[in-house]
Amino acid sequence: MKIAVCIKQVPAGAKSVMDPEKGLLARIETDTRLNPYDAFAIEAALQIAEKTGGTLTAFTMGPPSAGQALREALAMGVQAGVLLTDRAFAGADVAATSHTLGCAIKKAGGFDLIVCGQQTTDGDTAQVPFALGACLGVCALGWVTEISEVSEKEIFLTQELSGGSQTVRAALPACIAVGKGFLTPRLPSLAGRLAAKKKPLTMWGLADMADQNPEHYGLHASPTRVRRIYAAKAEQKASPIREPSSAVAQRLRSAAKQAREEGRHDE
Amino acid sequence: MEFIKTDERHTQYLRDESRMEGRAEWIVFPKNARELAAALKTAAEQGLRVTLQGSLTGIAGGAVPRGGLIVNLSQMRQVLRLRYDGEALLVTLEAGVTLSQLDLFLRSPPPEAWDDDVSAEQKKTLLRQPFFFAPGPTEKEASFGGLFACNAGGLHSLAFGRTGAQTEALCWLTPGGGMFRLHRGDAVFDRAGCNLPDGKRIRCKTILKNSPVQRMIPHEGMDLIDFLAGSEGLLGAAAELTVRMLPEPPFCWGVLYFFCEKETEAAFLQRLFEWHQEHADGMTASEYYDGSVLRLIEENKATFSAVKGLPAFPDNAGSALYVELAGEDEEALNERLFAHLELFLSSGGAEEHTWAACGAQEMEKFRVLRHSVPELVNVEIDKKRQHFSALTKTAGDFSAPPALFSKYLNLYKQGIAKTELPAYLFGHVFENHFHINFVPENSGQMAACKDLLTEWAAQTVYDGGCIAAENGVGELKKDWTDGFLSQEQKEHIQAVITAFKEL
Repeated sequence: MKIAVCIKQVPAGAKSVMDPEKGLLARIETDTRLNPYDAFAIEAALQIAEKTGGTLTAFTMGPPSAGQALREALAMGVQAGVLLTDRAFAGADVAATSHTLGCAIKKAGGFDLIVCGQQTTDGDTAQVPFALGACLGVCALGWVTEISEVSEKEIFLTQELSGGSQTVRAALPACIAVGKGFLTPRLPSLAGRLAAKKKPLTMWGLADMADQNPEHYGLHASPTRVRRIYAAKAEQKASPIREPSSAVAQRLRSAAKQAREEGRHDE
Repeated sequence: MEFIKTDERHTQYLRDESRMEGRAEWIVFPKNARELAAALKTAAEQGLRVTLQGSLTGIAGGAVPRGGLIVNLSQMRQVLRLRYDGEALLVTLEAGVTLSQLDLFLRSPPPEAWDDDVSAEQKKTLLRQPFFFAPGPTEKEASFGGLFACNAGGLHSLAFGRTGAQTEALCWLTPGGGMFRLHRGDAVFDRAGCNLPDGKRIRCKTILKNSPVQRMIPHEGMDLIDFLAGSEGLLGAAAELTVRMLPEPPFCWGVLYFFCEKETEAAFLQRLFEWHQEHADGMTASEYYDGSVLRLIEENKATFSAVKGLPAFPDNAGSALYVELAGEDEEALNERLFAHLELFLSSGGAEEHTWAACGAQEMEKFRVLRHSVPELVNVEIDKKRQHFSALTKTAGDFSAPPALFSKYLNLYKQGIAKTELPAYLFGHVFENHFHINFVPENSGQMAACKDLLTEWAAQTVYDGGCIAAENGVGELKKDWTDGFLSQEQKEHIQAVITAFKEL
């Protein structure tokens, strides 16, 4: 089984401020670290690779210094690291990041399972795993709190939902985003860390991609503009439906039909 | 400044982390050196017994009052001046400043804190460079006054010595409220005492014999700053200190080696110690944890936030060694790490029984782990105190010659095993400076623990070591340590105290 894990280097103290002109995150700290959620993604991927005898490659996008995050992954036991670095990739939002990662994953020959951390501590959108799934045309499953079984063809996992959880079976290839807490990331051994320092990283830029149109990467391809960052108020209008699945399916069909008739697509 | 009559609002000032409780009639909170001097002068005139307090983090009861006046320095929290001597940042601060406050201050010091001879360009460079207090006390809420009073060590004393060694200057107040300022080198003991910069003289003989307690027995050639470090308030107090903050080395590693076999532990410790003696290997810390400590951490992982995210220790891990290495040359450091790993493997260790962190940020979890050990032990003491209220900290803080570390490690382990007393053994192994913490459940056990500690203390004194190495003698060990002092040493100590009172 081929497994990819997508990781990111973030400011160590998560002290980022928004540039009001550009609507982009301005890094004000020089200290960086592996995104804490990604340590859980690496651990999940390692455990799957160990169970299935699979291979594990880590991908990250960022400046050359982001290679440090890959070295952390290598020290934990990941076999190979790919650093996507090019000025054309800079300033990427969710869509452009996912496109870049997706292109790299395709170039590497595709993967059976792509594992991401649920979110990063800087951008905090929690959207990249889903956008990446869309780019690759595979199923994306977020807020994973347990992986109970993995085979060459499918994965059984539990997702945390608002007010509950659900256990699902998904066909592979798939992209999953894991949360914190259900695993404890391993600490690298001394030999692992020393070896990781010497291991060569694969570096790909725009010229290495199949899609070499710079308009499809970085700031050019980022439709998002951040105007303001604030804590959203959570208002829960709906309540969980506790009925037999056939009745739930019927309700959903009716609701979807009604939404279509009313021209609404956001419910 | 007001002398306040103590009442129920002041109960927190009657105890420290030793779990001892005291009493006091008065308390005062001086705000600066001048007020502190006035408080000490008034107390001396009134014949009040004085207990000095920093942050109350001490574990030997040095801040626990025995009647009279508490002089609490917690309002003396100004960082006064920053200088740079080309190697270190020299920070002058009031005695109540804590390590965590200084860390915070140094992240963004106000422009007026800098000495005039530091150029704007130099300030910019210095602000980019992280500095650290080299002895590395793990209790970040400890005040510098308290650290100096017991000459505290820490994680990195192996390489950088204790608090006194990193103190460059003092504003010292005598027990009678007299004040003198001195820089390192200004006042050095001769055979009959020591001249102060202001022309006064401390008259006391110096002796060559080792002292079983670190305080109060000067020897010829000793700097007065080194002598005052660890004097625990008996000769007065530091109102202001100038401490050296060293630039963090560009490369540093922390490695935990777990031992599943006793033979592996013994062989690796001995080989690594010899290797460290023979090579300038950049080792800055060597911390040992016995099996009880590992179990204590494991049991508390679910609830104690400091150790929460740690993975499970390797199966059958019976003890562990934490080592830190630092240096300027990354390649050279990597080579030393390979050499250490080779020693571990050839001693019977397994590659997967190591945890390694590279860089200060990653190492923080190992440092937090180290500091969590005494904290967890204190939690255990508090639990036991619910059923055994007379329980206080029952601990040894012995430091014997480093070359004898394995003899002492075995001595402690055998004593604990033989008596089956509940104990936690950890500490600075290559300094032969272990912390042995007993948590007895009743007065019979407590007496047995004290017997064992006394036996070990006698051995330490015999080997020329120190029986109250860094936590101080305090109230907890005062009577006990007195028993190890010769009549001559006691007379010397008394003569020194008298000399300071007469200043």
